[in-house]
Amino acid sequence: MSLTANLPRDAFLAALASLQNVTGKKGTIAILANILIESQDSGVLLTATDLEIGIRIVVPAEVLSAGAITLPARKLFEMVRESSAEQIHLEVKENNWARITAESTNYKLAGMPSDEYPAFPEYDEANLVQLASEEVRDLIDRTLFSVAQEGESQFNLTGLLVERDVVEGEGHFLRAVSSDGHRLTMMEKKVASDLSPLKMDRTILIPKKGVQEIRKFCDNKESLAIGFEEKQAVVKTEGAILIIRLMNGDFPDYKNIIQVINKARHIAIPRQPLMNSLKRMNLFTEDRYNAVQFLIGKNRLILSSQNLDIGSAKDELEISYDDQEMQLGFNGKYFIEAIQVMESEVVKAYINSEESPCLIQGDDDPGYMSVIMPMKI
Amino acid sequence: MSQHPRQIIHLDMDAFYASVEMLDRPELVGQPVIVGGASNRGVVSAASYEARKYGIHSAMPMVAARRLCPHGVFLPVRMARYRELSEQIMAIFHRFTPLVEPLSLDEAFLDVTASRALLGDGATIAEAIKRRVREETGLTVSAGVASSKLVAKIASDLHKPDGFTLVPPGQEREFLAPLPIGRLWGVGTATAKTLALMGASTIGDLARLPLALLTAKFGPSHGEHLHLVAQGIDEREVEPEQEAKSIGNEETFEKDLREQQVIERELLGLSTKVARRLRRHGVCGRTITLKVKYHDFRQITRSVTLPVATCDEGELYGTTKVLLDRTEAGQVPVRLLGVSVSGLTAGEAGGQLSLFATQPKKKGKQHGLHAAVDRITDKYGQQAIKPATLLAGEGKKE
Repeated sequence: MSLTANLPRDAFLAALASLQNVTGKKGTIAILANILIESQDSGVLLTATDLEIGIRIVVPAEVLSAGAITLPARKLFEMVRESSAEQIHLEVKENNWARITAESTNYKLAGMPSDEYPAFPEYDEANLVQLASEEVRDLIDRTLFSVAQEGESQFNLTGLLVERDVVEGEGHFLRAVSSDGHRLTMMEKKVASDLSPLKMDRTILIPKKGVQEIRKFCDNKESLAIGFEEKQAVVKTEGAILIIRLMNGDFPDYKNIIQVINKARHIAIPRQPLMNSLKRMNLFTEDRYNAVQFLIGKNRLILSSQNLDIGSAKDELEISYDDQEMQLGFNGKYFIEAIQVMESEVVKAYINSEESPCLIQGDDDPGYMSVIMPMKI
Repeated sequence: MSQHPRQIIHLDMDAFYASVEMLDRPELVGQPVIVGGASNRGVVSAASYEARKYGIHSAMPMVAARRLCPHGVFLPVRMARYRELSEQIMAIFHRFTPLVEPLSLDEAFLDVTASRALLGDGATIAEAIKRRVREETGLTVSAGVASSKLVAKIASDLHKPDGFTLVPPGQEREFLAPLPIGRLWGVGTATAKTLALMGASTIGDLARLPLALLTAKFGPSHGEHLHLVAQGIDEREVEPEQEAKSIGNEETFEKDLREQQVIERELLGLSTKVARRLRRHGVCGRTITLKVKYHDFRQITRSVTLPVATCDEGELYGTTKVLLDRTEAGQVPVRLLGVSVSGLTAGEAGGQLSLFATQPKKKGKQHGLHAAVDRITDKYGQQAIKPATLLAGEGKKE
């Protein structure tokens, strides 16, 4: 017998949408452009993988006959998206053909045999720890932006570093750190769960794309189970599993960099006005480096930018500062992104010299810190 | 264009390196001065006119030159100094027209067609340039004035040193006719030999050969080229120096490379060269491209864009090595390797400082290191200083 099932359109569509990002692109193994569809007791299990990331989602369905098939992910997604039927009927025919019926429309879709699909990685339930999705989301949202782009920078910076701290008497902390080589962002969060079962002996470096998938898993869910194994990170929610191959390599010694930052002198700047002003300055920066000049004087900050082809911009902000005048250059985009994810009304920027890292923190952003290297201008 | 003949000047410094040495050390004037590689395996880069009387010419092995003229003054190449004077000379050229196409440190084409209204005809301008160069640098330059690059270049070479040759428009054919065909651009030894068999030893002889005969013998494009240049026709424009869009280097190996280690060593050599060239041009680049040609002539390129522009050989090498992993090098024999950098920006990296690896202080040091290495290279040549890894390859290569 071969697979025959009725799937609720909306749930099927949502699952297919979640799988789109990890289906293989051109040039990889052909079958990875397909998703694996297998019948289960309670419904249909969908699997997609690009060999770095694998996702499995259960769609509750009425299974009329057990079986399995792989079908082109993109085409299947588009067919279901364009259909207005409440239910999609899927029936596997001979030679890996699938007949799909949605209301009055009939499709014949060419598939590939399910036994050629790569095996989904195994994992151990015992390694998983339940975390509030709110906590995971916060860790990711505050650090993802400064993970280096793939193809840019050193390989080991294209992932998010995850660390655990157990502080006697205080509790368990999770920490996410990202850097693209010019800036570094760190978010540390006390979590309600007991993190002791987590196996974190090796460096946990999660590739950027994997982090983005974890972030999607956080949506509309109270909690998720997360675990780390020798080669992979496992994220599990009700009805879905995400497995990410961890990156090999070390993350730079960020603690040392943070430690040596001299915190003797800082400027206090109202966050929202600074962000708005920087966005205005960015209109006049040179494309690539977004250089914005910071002229710091007694209780005032003058921001300026110039683009040789367009013109220049200048703005003044009231800050609290009473020390020697300084002139620094920063990539305005880095500054915007760093303070965009903060909540404090006032941000503190610790500054030393035009060549030393600037550390940004806020009183109402416990655990958060951003370090930005200046630009020479 | 033929209605308004162009006025093109070709300027060629006389025995440039040797003349600079004599300029800096006047006691050498009148002596046979030979500038070239310091080792015996080096070649002559320049010889003063006195040295040329002994039969010494550039590209001759230093050993041979020493034999010909044992009492000659043999000096090492001081590239930085020549470059400094070259800049000064090019700046003088630029006062007369923006259309300056430098061919090398000591040679350039100028299109002064549009400058005539202001500065007088081509001959007047050429004389003025010669005077200015002499007064401001103490060096002499030979000039050729004609309606095309081809004729101007041949003209400037005719009365060296301190020469001046004017070929008035319409007299190109007559001017070229008596000259040996070897003077023509595009005529090498092989072509000259074939032409000699066809009875052409002067440019005038060549001009009389029918086009059909030339295209039959040399193919349509080369044949037509010969036909045109023999008449003194050369429509090439003077192309002012353009900013390079990319800087790169590639090498075809005598024997295909098979071992990963050897391939990586060549990659380091290329990266070092390219980094030096970047620094010489005062630029950094973000996009690094690796080109690999396999033994079967299949060719692929792999590239990556860095967040910050670089001109550091270490970073270039590290990056190209990662790119190398994305090729079949090591499994398939490699015939050619190429490294190039594009997305060029002036100077250091747009100023963005790095958090790790190259700390600001370290960066300063690296800067100093680059400058020192470049100075050594300028003074003693490419072989004088290089990564030790490259030394290992020496024995095998030679």
